[in-house]
Amino acid sequence: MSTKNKIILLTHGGWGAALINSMGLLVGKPENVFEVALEPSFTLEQYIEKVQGAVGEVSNNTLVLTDIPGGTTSNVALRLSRRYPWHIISGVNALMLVEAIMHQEETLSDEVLAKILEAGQQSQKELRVPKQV
Amino acid sequence: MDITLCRVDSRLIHGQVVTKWVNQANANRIIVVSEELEQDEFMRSVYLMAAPPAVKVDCWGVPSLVAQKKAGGLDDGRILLILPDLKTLKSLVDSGLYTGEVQIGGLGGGPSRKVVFQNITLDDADVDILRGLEEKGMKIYFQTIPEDSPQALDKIIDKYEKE
Repeated sequence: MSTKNKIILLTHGGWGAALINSMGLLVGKPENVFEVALEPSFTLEQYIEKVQGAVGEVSNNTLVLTDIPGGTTSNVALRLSRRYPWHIISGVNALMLVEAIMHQEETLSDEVLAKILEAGQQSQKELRVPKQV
Repeated sequence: MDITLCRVDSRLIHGQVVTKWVNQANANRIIVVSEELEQDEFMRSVYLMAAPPAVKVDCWGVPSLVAQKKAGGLDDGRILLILPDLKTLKSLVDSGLYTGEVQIGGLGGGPSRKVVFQNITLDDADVDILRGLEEKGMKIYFQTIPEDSPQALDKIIDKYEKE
């Protein structure tokens, strides 16, 4: 039984699996981090069933990271929040996942959630080398 | 009542709708035709959150929609109408509320359902409904995202029969 809090990725088509594996190179082999992919052919009901079948035990330290806010992945995470006391953040990216993994042994407080969200947001900027004088 | 797009999509408000169809249809209002959502405040909130910020969202079953029409509740806005399935479409048409063009964008899988185009599946009951609507002279086409070419109903029904 892992002491690390559960992190669940919900993405369209399953690109999250590659993200999880790749981030392992930065923060070590991820533990208790997995994805439930939404296939294009799934109905809403099929995906809800798939998620419920895959998540196992959920606590209020469980974090769900979805790809698109307003997408079926996020809608299902929200629908199921009536049943599961998890926390959800949308727009998952590399550094957001890394931050989440780094806090995996802490309580998922509002502060920690804010740090995870911010890490994702802070990683997004236009990169340009300033003009050399 | 200005309905700029009537779309059947079992996933209701989601990625394709939010990123593409609202803009394509130049809609500033979404009405989800669903008695289930009308009665479930929690679920309504989920779908309200899914829509773009400037877009107003209402969820009404067909009977309430009829009442709203009478009361002038459908007069405002450029409406994107979303229906979860063909049963609801039939109900909508039978009520006399709407007989315009209909876009079938997403109908998911299940037993006795066959894939006819992209992620759209049909079963015998669906095909009966579609044939009935076609007889009424309604224009129905299949299109998932604007980048796809719309598929005509008779072509789709042919495909269904051949499977």
